[in-house]
Amino acid sequence: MTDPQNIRNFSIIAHIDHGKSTLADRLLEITHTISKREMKEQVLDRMDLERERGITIKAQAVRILYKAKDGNEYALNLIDTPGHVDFTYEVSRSLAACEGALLVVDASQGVEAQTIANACLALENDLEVVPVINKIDLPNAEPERVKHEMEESLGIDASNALLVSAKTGKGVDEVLEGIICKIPSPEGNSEAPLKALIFDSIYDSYRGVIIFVRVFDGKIAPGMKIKMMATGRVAEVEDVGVFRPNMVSVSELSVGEVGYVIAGIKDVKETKAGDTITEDKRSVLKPLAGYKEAKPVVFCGLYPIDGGEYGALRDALDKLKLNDPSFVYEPETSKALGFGFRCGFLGLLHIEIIKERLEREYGLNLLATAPNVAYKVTNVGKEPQFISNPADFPPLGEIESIEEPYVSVLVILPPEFVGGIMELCQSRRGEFKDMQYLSASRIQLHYHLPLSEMMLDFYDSLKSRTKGYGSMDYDHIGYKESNLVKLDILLAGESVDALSFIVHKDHASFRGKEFVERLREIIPRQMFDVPIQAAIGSRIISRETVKAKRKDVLAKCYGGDVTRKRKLLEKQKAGKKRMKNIGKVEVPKEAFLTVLKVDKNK
Amino acid sequence: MEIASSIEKYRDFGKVVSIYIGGGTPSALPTSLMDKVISTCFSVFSPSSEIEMTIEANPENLTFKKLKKLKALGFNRLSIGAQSFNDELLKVLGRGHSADETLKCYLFAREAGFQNINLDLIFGIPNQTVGCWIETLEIIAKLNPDHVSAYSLEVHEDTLLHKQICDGLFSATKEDAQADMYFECLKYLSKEGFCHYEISNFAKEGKECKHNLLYWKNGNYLGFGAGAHSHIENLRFENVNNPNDYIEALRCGKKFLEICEKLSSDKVLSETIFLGLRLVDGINLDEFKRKFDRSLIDIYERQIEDLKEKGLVVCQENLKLTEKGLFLANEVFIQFIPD
Repeated sequence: MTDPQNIRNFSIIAHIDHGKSTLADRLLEITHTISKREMKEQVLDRMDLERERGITIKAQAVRILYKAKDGNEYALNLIDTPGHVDFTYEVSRSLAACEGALLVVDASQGVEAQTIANACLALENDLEVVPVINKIDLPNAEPERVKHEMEESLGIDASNALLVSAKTGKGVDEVLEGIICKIPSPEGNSEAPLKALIFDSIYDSYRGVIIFVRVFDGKIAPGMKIKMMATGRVAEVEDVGVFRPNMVSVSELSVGEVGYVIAGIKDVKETKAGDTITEDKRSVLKPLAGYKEAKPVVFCGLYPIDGGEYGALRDALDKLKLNDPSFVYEPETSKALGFGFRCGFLGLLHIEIIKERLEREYGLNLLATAPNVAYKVTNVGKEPQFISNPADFPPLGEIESIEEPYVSVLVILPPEFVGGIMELCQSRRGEFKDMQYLSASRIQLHYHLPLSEMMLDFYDSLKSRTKGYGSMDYDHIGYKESNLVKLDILLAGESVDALSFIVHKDHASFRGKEFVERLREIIPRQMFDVPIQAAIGSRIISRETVKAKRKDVLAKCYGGDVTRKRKLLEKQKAGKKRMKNIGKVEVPKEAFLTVLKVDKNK
Repeated sequence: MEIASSIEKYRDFGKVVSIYIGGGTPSALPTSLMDKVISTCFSVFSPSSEIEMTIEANPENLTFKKLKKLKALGFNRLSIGAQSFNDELLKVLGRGHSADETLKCYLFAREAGFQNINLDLIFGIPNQTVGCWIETLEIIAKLNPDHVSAYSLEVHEDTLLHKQICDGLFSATKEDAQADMYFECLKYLSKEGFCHYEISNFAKEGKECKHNLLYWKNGNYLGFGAGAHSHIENLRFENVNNPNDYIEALRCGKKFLEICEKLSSDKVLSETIFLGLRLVDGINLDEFKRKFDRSLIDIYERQIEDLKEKGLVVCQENLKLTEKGLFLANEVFIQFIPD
């Protein structure tokens, strides 16, 4: 075992693109945790998707051995966290396994919304926050301004912030020393009953569930009978080890250590992140403070374009769920789309990632309906119920009240864009909370918004209205009553359940009109006129028509052309297959997502 | 050289019913060389007595003298790339000739003795109105050619026009305007005594292009030259496309065939149908049965019923497009493309 005095457990937190992964790469490189030969960018992000998008989705851990200037060798456990707001819950559980965090801020960009959100999470978890100002090699770096912003927005002392260029390697040695001097070593009793925190678990088809743990008290070794306190599952430990960054077996994991445990478990549901592992015979009485379970907040229907792929979709969902307990699904039937699943996610990025993985890793061709939130609907004289599919809304007359989820939104932006963003928030039914100057060039705006409004390309609008200089973060704050109605969309006279959506009564007529116009643009001309209507109850509020197609014919086809023309026809036919037939109307997949695009100022 | 070298291969090819010199600007070739091409052809292949011999020409490089020589070489059909009789539109198309030159060329050709002349036209050119198009058709009526090919403009990627449209220099003609022009074309030319026999082709009685009919009936043909295509039963092949590479290959006795595709029976079937349906008379069901030993209606029962219901085809002795089907032929064709 390593003396806890010589262990440091830390995370790196940062706003996206402020250099978190580059700094991690550099730390691994200069400590020879990873040889130059194995080094590649974003070395901790193992999924292809993570590398392509430059984001971290799954938490990762790695043990770094470092011989410090004081002559001692230290074991530094870096727990890498996802950077996107959809995965805040992963950040919080990774932080709970650490004593400190490096807070990385870009020297020219300064404090951004996620800087604040993540730093607050760290402070709430009583972590020691070590400020690091990165990218000081850039010509427009302003470390003094950034220090000021950190102090203003977070109330931390940033005067001794470490100045670093992860890209060139400058100052990275000081980061290692800073970790040792500033972050406390773990405390705990190695003789006490085992108390270890699960901060993640993944399913491996060869080894079963691999549990990522941090030991707080006692020790864990092969042969021990352990118990997951939340689920009560008892299992015998087969193997324990550390991440170097590949898994390396060790004889035991003791106080303060971070590593993995394999115990013949086949289902990640039994090893919930946030749960406490203890000994079966010598249980601790009180588990570690768990953290709130990640609950899905946005929902959408996933349907196979080809109905025959329904079974394959179900199998793929089952498999993905093994590694991502945070998304949920249940079968549903749509009159328009047939058999599919209603799925719940942590956010829009989460939907995109799951959908992309289903299509890419399982070769499925899917249609996703527009995401929506779960509404709390109370029918006259009945108990409230949660409804996550607009198609399931009761008729207007039966509803007594509807509540919808709200979020608290933090926007950080240069002062010249404040007007535009306040206007954006107002148009999305936002309630202004407060505004604060972080520095002469950065303002922090705070609003409460309905989550459903935030999903309507709010982030894209924010980015375009601030020319890319605005950043945001949000947090769920519960349900509030709203005056909402269901808008039905009819294609060729038939109501299409998968296109209906919930909207505030005051916005209904103009959102309906806009949506119908967009659909007219996106639905290709067919063999007949296709009227598109929006309706509330039986009242039609808007109508457009896709005129019948009049000409579609290849003008020329001679001897030298036959093969090429055949290929064109094959392509045209394949294009049709990608569309969904609703009644007789061929509807492209994108139509189901157009409801999300509302901001014309883009 | 390629033709000469084919003599052994195609000894049993049978009588040649048509020779078509086209693609690019064959009229630019000096007549002495053209003479060589033709004589080599006849040294290898024997012509049928009714042989159709077409040469494609652009108005700008045709003189009366040249026309006379071509006639003397045995060409009995001339296809002129008129495209439009509006100089502005010819500029949009990037053509090197004027409407006047086309007229002159046409009259010279008549004088040189050509009794079977085709004029190629394009409609749906950016900036072209239905009115402009009718003016072009009126000129056609006055000239009274034997054959007209009227093509709806397709703007392909990687062309100058495509770039100009993308840059906003011109706006592409909308589908509705294209449909109106096609409709006017059908109406006008039939009034003028032309028989509409293929989606884009119109002919005076007996002047249908034998050569192209062969393509649409999915017959056999041999192509010679760089990028030329051939079709023999279930084989399609294509020569090396780059002329320099082609010449080089031929000189060194290397392979000049670039692509050779052996068509599956599914593909032969679908090609026969989408080519055949281009003809206004469509596909004769008896002929089809004789050729494939299966009934067209049996194979595509579901598709044909569906298309009949949509008013795109009719099916009696022949399976053929309706007038609506002519406008929406791709909708019909793709039903016969295998998945």
